[in-house]
Amino acid sequence: MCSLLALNSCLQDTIRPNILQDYNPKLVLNGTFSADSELFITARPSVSILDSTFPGGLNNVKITYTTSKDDRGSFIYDLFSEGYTSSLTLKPGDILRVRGEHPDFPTVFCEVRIPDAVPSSAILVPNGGIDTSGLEGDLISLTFTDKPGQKNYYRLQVLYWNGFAFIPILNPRTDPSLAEFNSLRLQDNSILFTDDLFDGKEKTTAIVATNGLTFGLPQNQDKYKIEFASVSSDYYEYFASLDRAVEAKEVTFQGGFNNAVVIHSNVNNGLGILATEWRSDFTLK
Amino acid sequence: MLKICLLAVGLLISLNSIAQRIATGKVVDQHENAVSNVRIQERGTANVTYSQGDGTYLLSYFDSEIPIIFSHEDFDTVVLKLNPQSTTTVFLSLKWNSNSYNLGFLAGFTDFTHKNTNKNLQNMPYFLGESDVNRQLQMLPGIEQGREGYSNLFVRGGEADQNLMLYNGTPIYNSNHIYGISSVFHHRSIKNTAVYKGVAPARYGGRASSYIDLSSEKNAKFSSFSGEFEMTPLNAGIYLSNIQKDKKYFTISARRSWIDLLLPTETRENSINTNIYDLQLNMGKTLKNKDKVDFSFMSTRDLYFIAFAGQDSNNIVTSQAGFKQKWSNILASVKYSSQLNTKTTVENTAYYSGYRASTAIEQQLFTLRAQGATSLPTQKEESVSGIRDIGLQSHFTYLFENKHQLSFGIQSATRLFQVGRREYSSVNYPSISDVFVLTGTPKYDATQEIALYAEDDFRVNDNTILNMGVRQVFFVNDKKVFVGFEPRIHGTFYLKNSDVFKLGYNRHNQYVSQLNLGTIGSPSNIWVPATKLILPQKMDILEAAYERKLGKFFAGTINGFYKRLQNLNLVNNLSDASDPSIDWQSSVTQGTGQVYGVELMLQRSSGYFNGWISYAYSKSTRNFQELFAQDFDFTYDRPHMLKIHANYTDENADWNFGFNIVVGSGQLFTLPIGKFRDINDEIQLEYNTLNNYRSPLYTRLDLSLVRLKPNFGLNQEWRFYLYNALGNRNPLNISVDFEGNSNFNALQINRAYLAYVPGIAYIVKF
Repeated sequence: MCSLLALNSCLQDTIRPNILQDYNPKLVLNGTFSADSELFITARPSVSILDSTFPGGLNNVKITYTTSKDDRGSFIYDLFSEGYTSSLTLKPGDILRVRGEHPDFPTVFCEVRIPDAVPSSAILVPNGGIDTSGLEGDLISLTFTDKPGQKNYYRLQVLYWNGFAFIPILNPRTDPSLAEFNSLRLQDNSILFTDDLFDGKEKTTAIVATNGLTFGLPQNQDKYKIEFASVSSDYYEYFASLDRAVEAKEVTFQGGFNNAVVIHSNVNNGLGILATEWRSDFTLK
Repeated sequence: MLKICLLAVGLLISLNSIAQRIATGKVVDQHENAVSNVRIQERGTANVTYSQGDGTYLLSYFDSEIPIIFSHEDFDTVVLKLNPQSTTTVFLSLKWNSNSYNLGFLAGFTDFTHKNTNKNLQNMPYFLGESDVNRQLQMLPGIEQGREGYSNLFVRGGEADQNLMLYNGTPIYNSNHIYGISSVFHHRSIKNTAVYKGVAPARYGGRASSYIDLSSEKNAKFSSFSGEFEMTPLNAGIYLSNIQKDKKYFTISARRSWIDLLLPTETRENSINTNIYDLQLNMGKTLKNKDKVDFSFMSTRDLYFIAFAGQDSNNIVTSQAGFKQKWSNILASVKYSSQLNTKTTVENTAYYSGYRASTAIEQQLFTLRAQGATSLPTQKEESVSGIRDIGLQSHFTYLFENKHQLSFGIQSATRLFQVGRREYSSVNYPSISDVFVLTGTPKYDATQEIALYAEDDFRVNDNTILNMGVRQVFFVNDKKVFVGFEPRIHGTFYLKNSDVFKLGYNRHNQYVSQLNLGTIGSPSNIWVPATKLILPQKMDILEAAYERKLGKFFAGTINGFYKRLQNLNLVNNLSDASDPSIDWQSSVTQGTGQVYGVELMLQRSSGYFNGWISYAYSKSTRNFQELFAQDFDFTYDRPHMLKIHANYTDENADWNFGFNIVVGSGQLFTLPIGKFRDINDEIQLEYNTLNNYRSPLYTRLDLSLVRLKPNFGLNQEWRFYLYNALGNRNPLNISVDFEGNSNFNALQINRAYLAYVPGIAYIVKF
């Protein structure tokens, strides 16, 4: 009876709060800048949550840059890749300021820094470890030295050659720094982690490839590849917020926006991420 | 070191007890209400003491032939000769045109027996007719209900788990019935509610927001046997009390939902069942040697069960699935109070508090039964969580001299946590082996909290009281020892015109937290200890208050406070936190918060028509770096709140009535404002900040109308209630859905609200 009384008095209506109706679209810039690589940015608009349409990429955004070495220039729209490119190459420690202008959106700007190079090396010990099945497997290890006195962020991807292409190996994350509590697994199976557990020290992390993973490949053929990168804090925080958003969506499906996630952005007046990384790849035979 | 300290204290106690004569007692007015701050002086000497907040006094004096003067500016002076080692109750008469309101006490303190007296809260409007202690507290400035219609308490921008709710000194870990719609404390079963909204004596500890001390009836002005029977749409309840004044007491309070009893037994067992109950039993006695023993027991339970039958295309029942949720509290305590010597009293308490919540899903298949099998193929999954608290406490009060009353003690709590245990079984399936899987923590994990505290209630002069206390806490969990030092400092400064200024600073540490898994008050929320990774919550509060009597009937208070909160917990992954197989610590992020505010309250404490008007301005923000780089408003932040409670109470009248008016800032919700593509080209929702949408002005009028009608020698009452009588659209919940469940489509926002909620209660008193 109590429930009936309460339910009878529980009414519902539909509202359109002003904060949603007064929405101002923003410019969304996304891109990852690697040292010694060409730069690439995509530009799209954001739309109101009340909007049923979703426009595609923008091709008339004026994107300019200046660097800490006073280089200036513009990004050029590339029809094929539907993004903006620049032939500028950056070195570790370089600072890049990017500005995006479009008549329909507030002007956005962003300042990024290419992370410092990290002394690192990798080795392969054939049948040097025991895989998850208890059989001998190739031991692939990476050693690098963390820069002390600052928080550093890293990305690690280990791949094997299947005769046609490098395929990611699912990292078992047995290393404490790579464990689920302390790191993130990205869509491409690479792991994002921090130096919280080895600040300023030399760090070695290793995985054992499943027995027979590269069976049949010639002796001197490339077998494994380690993609190792030192990434910016914005890079880490962006992907951390995306990871939480994925989890929140699962919960949302069960009932409500209890777990709203603000996606990290370093694009002032806009949205998106201009991430930076210093990257070093090791191919192991 | 500890032994030396104890020895020194013991020596001090014995030496002082030999030196002087002691008189103890209580100062009350003509209605036997306690009178605080009465000046008690040995005539012609500078030997002075003052009555405490509960009216008690303890005077150390030199000559039993010299009269003792009891004086207070609002009461007629009384001169008495006291017998040594005697206990005397002194009655004072209120002067004509004087105000009996008790100034003093700690800043932010409220209770309805000693300080905020004669409020007749039985005539307050109550939600659905359930006269709930929490609903009374929600009408005080600085205490909010959180979600509309719920019985939760958020004190000065703090979290719900930061309130320590004590029932006769024993902590209770879930004080909710029906997922938070009603509390387990019926108004009639509680004699006094005392709330410390921040600054608290050193004997209270372990929570970062407030201490809510609920006491059952233990004594009365007259010896009597009385009772009350109550019937509401939700419950039938009975309250009985047998009190022999100053000698012994026995009270029992029991409520149970009754609507389920109208259903056939078969329906309750196989289809649907929902019932709740709570039972409180208290007894105590004053022994021949004046020692006192008190025993308290409490049990509560909520049970909800629903089953569904599965049918095939021919409408033949093929399976049955049932869902059962249950949660319960059991509290028990025994307290032994004794007078060690003329200057020293001690209260020794042992208590147990256990809370357990379980959710079970069971499915039976009727069509898959193996040939010859007698049992049906069955799958069952049950999740259990709980907490058990076993406490031992000793609290000493010691009159060092008339200007110094010391209190000190030790509190030990062995706290056992079962964060989550899930049992899955699959049995009697043909051709498949039975499966039993256990995940999570199979047993309770133990932690230990020990607190040592001491406090000096120092009367500096006629106008100044300093409460100087310290509390040292040691908390051990998994070999990690946390040490927390908590200063508790408070000054009370009586000014000239019946007014008082107070200033206090406190620190509180909290070593146990409740993870909010989606809904405050939900039984699924789990209690967890502080760990190496999830550090104890910490709160610092600075508070100033000004209090003044206004004319004969009114009193006004202004409180200003600033709170800093550290190591606050927030669940950032609800699904993982609910999964016992995953370490809960990985789903929790810690952050900081700050709250500041001003609370004004004008109250009338005498006459037929009384109540209060309050206004609170406060700002409560949070910062969780992992969620959002900047500060954002706390979910239950309500900057402006105006609350009015008034009632007309005349036991000789045919009709009594009461009303509540609440006007203030709307509740915060988080709405996505836009959408965009991320670096992986997937659609993400844009939030400019968390808690970005404040619903329109909150306005609510609640009414109560009470018909008093003696019949057949019994006092009968019909109570009629109406919640949100003006039908204002204060959101209970905001739900958002994309049309067609596609992120590409527009968002639709639905608002649910409660309006014109009726309530009724029938009461017979005897």
